[in-house]
Amino acid sequence: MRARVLLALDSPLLRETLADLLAREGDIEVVGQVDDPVDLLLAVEETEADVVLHTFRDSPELPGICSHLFAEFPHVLVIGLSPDASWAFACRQTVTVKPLASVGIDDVLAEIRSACVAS
Amino acid sequence: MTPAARPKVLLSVLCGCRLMREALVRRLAREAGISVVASGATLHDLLAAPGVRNTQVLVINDDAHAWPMFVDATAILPSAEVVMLVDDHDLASAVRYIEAGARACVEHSASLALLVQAIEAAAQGRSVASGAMVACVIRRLHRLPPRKTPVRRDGVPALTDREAEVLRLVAEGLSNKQIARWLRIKISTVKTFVHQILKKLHVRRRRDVLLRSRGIEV
Repeated sequence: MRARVLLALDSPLLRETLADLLAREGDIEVVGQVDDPVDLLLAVEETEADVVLHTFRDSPELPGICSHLFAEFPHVLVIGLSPDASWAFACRQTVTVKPLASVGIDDVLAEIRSACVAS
Repeated sequence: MTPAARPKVLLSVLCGCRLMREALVRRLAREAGISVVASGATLHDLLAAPGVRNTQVLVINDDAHAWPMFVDATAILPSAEVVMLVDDHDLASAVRYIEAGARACVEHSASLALLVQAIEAAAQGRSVASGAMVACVIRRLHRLPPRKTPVRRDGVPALTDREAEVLRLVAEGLSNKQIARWLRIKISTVKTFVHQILKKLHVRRRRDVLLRSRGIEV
């Protein structure tokens, strides 16, 4: 089974670059790309994503994007990267904080695959 | 020359964010015209890579510590052309990099295709930029004081309008023959003007006029 990944990254350049790289992985499918937290919540449902990779900061219209995702889609793995790109965390029920210096593309790939195995 | 026949651009990537750096390196390495020779989070890391001295184009992500890295990198790798990746909300700092010698600045909102174009152009000493970036540079140029000409320096007799016009063409690198054709005057007249200009500016050679017109003391 291929992991269905939704990309929700602020930087269009990083989004396009990652989408292209992930799409080349045989066991990963990029099911959508969004650039807005509201679109993200709609897209998770529409695309039936297993994994959300996002960099959204809290917006006044929709504070706590992660809490919304956890509450509404408990089965989805949320990989959050801080908007200023200084730290990143991977989370399902609990949040583990990792400095971004230690998070590389292979870590992201491993996290995505772990979600696929778990489900 | 077709793109296939052109040698690959030797690229290095300097980016503090590991995910961004790895994604860029892996993706750009897939481009037919690009070969990635080095990458790192800091200049120290970058310089540890064996192939780094061959760098033709250096991409630097404009994060918190980018300015001193840019300054040091351009000093240590003087032959590398720099392409900056900049924040869309801070195009003013992009202009700062361009003024300091960066060949191009590409915004994060730009496409990967534009970044690739900018890298390949930079390797040939050309600049590629988005419309927003060009507009930003134009705004900056408009805020600059008008270009100074040396005609009103203290103790130097002012040039006549015609002499100033000839000076401008000399400074642009035109030959006497080209100036004569451009102004529709005889070449001997141009020579007279140039002689007068050199005398008034107290310089001996045309080349010095060129330098002085750019504000360089000769």
